[in-house]
Amino acid sequence: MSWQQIIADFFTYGILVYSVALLGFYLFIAVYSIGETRHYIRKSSFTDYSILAVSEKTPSISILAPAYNEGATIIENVRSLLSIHYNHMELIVINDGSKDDSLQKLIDAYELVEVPRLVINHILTKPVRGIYKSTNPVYRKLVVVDKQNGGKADALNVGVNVACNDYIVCIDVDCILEQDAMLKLVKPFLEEKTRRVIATGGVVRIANSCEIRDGKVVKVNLPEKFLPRVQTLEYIRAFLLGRMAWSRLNGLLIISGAFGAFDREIVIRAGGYNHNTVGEDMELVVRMRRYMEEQKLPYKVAYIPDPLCWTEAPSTYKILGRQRNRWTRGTIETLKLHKVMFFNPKYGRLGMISYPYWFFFEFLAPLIEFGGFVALLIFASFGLLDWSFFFALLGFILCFGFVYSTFAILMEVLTYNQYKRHKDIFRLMLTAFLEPVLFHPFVVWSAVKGNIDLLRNKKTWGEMTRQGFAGAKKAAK
Amino acid sequence: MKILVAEDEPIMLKTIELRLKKDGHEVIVTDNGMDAMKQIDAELPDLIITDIMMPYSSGLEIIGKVRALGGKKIPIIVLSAMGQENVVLEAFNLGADDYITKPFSPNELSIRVKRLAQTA
Amino acid sequence: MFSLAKFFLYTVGSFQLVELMYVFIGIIVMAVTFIAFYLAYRTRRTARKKQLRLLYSEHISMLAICDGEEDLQQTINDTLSRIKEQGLAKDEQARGVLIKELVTAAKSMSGTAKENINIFYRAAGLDQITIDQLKKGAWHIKSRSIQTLSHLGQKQHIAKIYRHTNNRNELIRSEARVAVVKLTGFEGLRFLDVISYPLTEWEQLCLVHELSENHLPDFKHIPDWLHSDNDSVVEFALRLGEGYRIFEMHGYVAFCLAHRLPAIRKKAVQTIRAINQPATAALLVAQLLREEEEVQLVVLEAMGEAGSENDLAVLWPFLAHPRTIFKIAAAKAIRNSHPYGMTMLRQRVDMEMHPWHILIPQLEEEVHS
Repeated sequence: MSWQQIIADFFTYGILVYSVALLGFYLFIAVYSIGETRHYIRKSSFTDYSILAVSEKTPSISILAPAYNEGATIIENVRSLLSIHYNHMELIVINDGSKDDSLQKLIDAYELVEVPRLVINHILTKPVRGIYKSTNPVYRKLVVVDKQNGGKADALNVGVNVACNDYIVCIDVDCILEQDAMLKLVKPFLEEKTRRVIATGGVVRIANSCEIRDGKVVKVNLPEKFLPRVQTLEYIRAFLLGRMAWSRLNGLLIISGAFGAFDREIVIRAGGYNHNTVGEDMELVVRMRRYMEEQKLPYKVAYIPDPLCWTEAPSTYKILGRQRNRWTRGTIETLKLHKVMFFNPKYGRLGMISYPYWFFFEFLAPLIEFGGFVALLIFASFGLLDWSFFFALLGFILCFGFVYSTFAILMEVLTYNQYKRHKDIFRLMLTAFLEPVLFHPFVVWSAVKGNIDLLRNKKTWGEMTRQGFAGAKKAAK
Repeated sequence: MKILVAEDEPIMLKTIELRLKKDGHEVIVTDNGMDAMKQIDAELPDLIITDIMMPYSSGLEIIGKVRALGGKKIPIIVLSAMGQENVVLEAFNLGADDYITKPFSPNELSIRVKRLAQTA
Repeated sequence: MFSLAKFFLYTVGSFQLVELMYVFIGIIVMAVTFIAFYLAYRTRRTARKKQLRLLYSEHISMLAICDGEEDLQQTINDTLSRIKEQGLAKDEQARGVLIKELVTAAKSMSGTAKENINIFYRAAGLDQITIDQLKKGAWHIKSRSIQTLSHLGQKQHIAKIYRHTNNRNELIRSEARVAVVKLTGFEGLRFLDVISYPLTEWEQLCLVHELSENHLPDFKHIPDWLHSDNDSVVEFALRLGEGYRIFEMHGYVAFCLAHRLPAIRKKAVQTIRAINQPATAALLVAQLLREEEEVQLVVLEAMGEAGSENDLAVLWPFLAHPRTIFKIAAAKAIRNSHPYGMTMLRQRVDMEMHPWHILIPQLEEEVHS
């Protein structure tokens, strides 16, 4: 056997094993999520969440809403957050050194005055300039913190320091929350006796084209534009299948930064948000889990599949690319920071399943796909490609993808059924067919660019860090 | 008397409506906070009965807004499942005239409405 | 490179792949067809449900505002015959909606109105249907039927519910526990004597909430529960003591201050603080001196409310505690427990030093607002 042969075989088998494992995981996730979803829906069918709204001794929560240059919408967003059904809560708006008049607008609208407050630096942050509270009793739940600019993670850390309550809920200010969102999000913390629930994650759904009135989603519509629509499909797959299955395994590594609740004490003990990564939301969950594993404390990360939080998705390729680029860098940085857990039995499932899964199928997948594409081009240009085989394999993979998407749509219809018209489902299916051509290659390319940027050590903290949904939305206008 | 009732549970809304009509009142109903504000501006009711946890805007906000309007003082009765002391106090501080905690008796509501109508 | 392709061709083979593709396409077509039919079905069902709800809310509110027995009997008969006329008596969906609406109404009403609804539920024979579901249904149906019976005040079925208070399924047992308390108040709590599973926070919250709804308090079993082997029962008993500020329990609670679990000791401190009688201050001081840090903080917070002006001596050292939260808690306790607490604090601390330059104004501001 020649050495070329050996290398060729190595790649062939390698790719084969990888693909089979990947598809196997997808199949497993799809099947495994069903039971969990059914259980949750059945349980919800008779649960009276309002007890959490009306009873005296409920857990106290602090909602943390970091804001950077959100002057245009901040007043409305805060008003909407204040109308959330939950008695024992405070809303902490953190003005991350905005360059616009956000702070003054808040002071005027909510009749704020500066109050002396000692902020304990459980987590080291940029300095706090002042803390404001309202003189009007209607807004007693509101606390506004003004601080020096330091990025989203730093702003959230200030929030953690200022918060007085047992649980913190981190949200993006421009998210639209259902009014019972907090009741549902807090409940998992109360349901475990033998292990500690350290965090609860919620679903993020896409609000483009939805009818929004007075800061509330009045009517859910399928996005009109292709890009948000394909992301709708993507989110359904991720939240209804992926996270549900991972939650059943108690292996969730990510809670979306747009909407999640955390046990404040554990956040502090784990060291708070890391402001040296652009993926601070994922990194925090991984670090909290790692902390619990190292302390040998039984714990759980819970997940709520109800659509409770709505957000505007990027609707241009440029902004989408930037978002995915950032997500990729966040993932890699997180994996790098915690590489000690890679196949480390000391970390239980976290080290043996969750971490490797993210490494192989979230981090490596786009790279392998890109590499495969390049190899394909080379082979094709040398006339070495067996076209009939190539098309058979391509068709197979595409069909598998369609089946997976169809299954996700089916689950959505059977459970929350947000898109009720036949037309909507037809369009979602059509979107699934277009995805491999118009969306997937772009996402892969953005991920590859993220890798390249990271290798070039392109640091984009500070202002760039806030170029998430918020930035995306403004640019889209 | 013209009474506006804001309550998001249809069955409760209907019951309150029927009970008050039995007493000979004119009743305007709405099932959300935003609509309630519009109706108050348009219909100028003599009395308002409102829930706290409603879609779009809370009953407390409605009290605040109505009291900020000035003019003739419209009596407001809060009807809510929230019985926590701080919520009740907040409602009164904002200018509510009465507070009834759910579960409640429609007959009691009727009497309280009568009482408020007399003093107003 | 040909050998590579051939390897695939012979092992997984393009023909086999193509065949698999047919299977996939078949699955997709089937799924899409199913979704189409299901959507149509669901839309129809939702529309009908809405219609039924409207109809029933009319009926139920008529029942709720009935005055006197005659009026009620008349309305019940009218309602039942109208339901029969419309052919809804045997319709499963309609019955489901009716029961649900009755529960919704019963949840928000009290007095005669609620009584009327309960009577109608029984007169319509719906309780037998719920009992049937309790016997045969899956776990979520069982849980819901237990809830239904309790919301609609069907005390005659209490034995059937009580049986489930130690059910293996945690959701069923949780509903059953709340239900017996809803139906019989404090008396229903007797399951606490025997339960083998822990009570979650959520269950405790539901039970406390249930008890607060018009049930005559009866505390005679609380001392037993405070000695229970089931730690969650101890916790729950403390919670009751706290909520009802049961004066007589002070001694028993003091006993829990020596519990082996810090979580229970914390709870006991909070209970003592709520009961707050003359002996409390001294107990807190003793506890402060012997506790580990984690619980000490809770004690300090309690002393902010139940401390006495004679105990300042144990508090002063905490102003120099390395952890700021202890400084804050101690300062608050001093401020609250002595009429001149604030003045004394100002004299004792260095106002130029962190954290006092902010903390002192904060403590003063908090008093004013």
